[in-house]
Amino acid sequence: MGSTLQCSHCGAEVPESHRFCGACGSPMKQGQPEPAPVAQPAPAASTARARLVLIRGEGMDGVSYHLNAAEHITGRKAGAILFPEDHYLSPRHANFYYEQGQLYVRDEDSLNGVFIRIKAPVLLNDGDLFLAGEELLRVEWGPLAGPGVGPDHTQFFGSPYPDGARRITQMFEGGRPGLTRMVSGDRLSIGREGCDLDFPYDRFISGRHCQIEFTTAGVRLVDLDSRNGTYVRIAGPQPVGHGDYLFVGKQLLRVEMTGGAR
Amino acid sequence: MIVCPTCDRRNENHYKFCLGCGTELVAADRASEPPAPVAAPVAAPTALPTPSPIRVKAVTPAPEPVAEPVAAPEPAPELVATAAAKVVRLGPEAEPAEAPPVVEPPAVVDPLSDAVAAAATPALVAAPPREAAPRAVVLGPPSFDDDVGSTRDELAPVGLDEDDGTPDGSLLGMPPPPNVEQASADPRACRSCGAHVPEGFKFCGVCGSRFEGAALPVAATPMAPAAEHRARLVLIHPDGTEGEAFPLDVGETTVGRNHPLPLFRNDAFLSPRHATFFFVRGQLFVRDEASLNGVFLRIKAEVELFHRDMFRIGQQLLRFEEMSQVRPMVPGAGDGTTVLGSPVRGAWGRLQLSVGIDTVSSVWVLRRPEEQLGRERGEILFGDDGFISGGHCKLLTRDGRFFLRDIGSTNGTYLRIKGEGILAQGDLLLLGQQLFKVDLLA
Repeated sequence: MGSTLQCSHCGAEVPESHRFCGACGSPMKQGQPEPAPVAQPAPAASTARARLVLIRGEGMDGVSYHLNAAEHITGRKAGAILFPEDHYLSPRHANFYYEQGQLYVRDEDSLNGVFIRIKAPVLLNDGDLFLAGEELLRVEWGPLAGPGVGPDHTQFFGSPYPDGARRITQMFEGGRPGLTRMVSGDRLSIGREGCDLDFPYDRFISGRHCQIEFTTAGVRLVDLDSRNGTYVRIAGPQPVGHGDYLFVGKQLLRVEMTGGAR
Repeated sequence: MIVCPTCDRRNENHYKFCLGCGTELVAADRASEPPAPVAAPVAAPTALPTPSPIRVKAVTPAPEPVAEPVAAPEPAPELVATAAAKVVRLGPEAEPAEAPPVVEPPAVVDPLSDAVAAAATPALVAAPPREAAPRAVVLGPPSFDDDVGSTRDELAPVGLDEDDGTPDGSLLGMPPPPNVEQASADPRACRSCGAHVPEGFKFCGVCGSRFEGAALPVAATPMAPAAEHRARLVLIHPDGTEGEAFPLDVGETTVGRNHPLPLFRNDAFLSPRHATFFFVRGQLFVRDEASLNGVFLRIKAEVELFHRDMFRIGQQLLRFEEMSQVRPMVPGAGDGTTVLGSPVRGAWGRLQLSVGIDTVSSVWVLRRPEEQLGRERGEILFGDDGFISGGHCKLLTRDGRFFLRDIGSTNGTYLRIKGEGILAQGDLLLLGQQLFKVDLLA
């Protein structure tokens, strides 16, 4: 009550009970000092242009990684930002680097890729992966192989052939396929309940989480104001800015620009 | 496609009844259509506008493992198969309804000329025709349970084409049973149709049955008298009535599109050599001859399911997969990294909807101890399939094993046999597009 702390980033006065600085959005240290990042001795904050904040369970902020160098390799075994416990990370997974003052993240040909939270509807390509809650989903609309005819001209007696080929496939951890849902209309809503495709077991997915829309302009992925967001896998160098959220393996990181290269 | 005149639903060309409302579909439309309807694939948008700043990596995982085509190569009767297939494709209505009754077997059987003969004069067999013997045609209601739901009364959406030229209950065109006397007279007589099989040929040029060596005279068979072994397959029409009967006698009987009988020859969903019926110590068996579409047996109550077993309900062809045996689509990197994905959360199986030889459309994940399939009630619903009961069957897991249970469906649940299956009195079999009842003759 009444007592304030000083934000370590911008120097603003912040009430003690607040978890974030009202001026710059930086998280406030709660009593104990922030542990230094594993691979990176904490530099003077003023020299950092950006940092990555690790989001812990329940949405709490964890350690920060200051991005002071030209590039910052992230991985399970190699690089400046190490997550040795996360076996969903490739040994060398991603690179955060600056180019002409802009911060980028690049997938270093990792197995599982880097996912970024969408802030507006995005267009997808056939075969793209996205994350909603704990579900990893792939959207496809390329034509199916067809009923086929046997080598001796025998006709195949299968289920009625579907009218379209739009489909969403769930990918289980370990690379095995889960469910596949054919999309008969122009859109498919995804969530925990009451949607076209429900995942009632997933407590990280919102009731109505996101939607795939098949339009003449392309296939759009729209987040329906979900609590935990919808993420798409990046390809190539991806510019990132303040407030972007990224999944690298199971690590959720928030990008914060701390001055200089804003 | 046939558009239903009643409800405008689009149906596959081979359907006899509308999938939506059950109205009988006009066969004439089918005959003029190409044989293999393929739904036009939805064209992907060709020019996608530049997406928002997020560029998404397209992954191209290995294609999902699907059924390996199991159709075995046909070594000898290739020509027969091709010729027969062409006849079917050109239109079965061209077949002569009445054919000259007798054709003398050629002295030397040339596979090609036989094939032509079989194709051109399908009702002819190289043996004296059996006279139209009196035969029991059982009329009356089929021996199926009635469902409380509004499932179509038809037993199954399968049926003999009306235009195959074979009137119900007639033996016209039916080949004679293996002629034992002739078999003993001709050491190279085919056991299925009695035709002479030249030295060195492994398959009968007339009916495509495998030649198993000299047909044994009855006296030489170490079995009980022939009469005890006899059985017949009774065709079940889509309306549930019984149609013609096909006798199964001592020895092996192979049916398929190579068979001279129009009942089999005109079913484009049968492989040239599809299934073989045979007796062992009085017990009737059926063997799937590595056919494309398999032999399905209606289950009674509950059967155990194994990885990649296939079954049919209504118009649907489904495959069960045990989760622990499902192969990854995304290969690992070999560096200790686990492939990211949704938690499996105790899933024990998958159920694939098979729409093509190598094509799966919908897939369901099986997670509850019991998952019910039905048209109206259950976890896995087929609201469009009028041949599925409201609640039809269940997939279950107990003690690490898996089961399929019919829950009193009207039209039944059929499991594809693997290799050989035992047949009992009253068993119902799906062969190609047609349903047969096993009738063991005492």
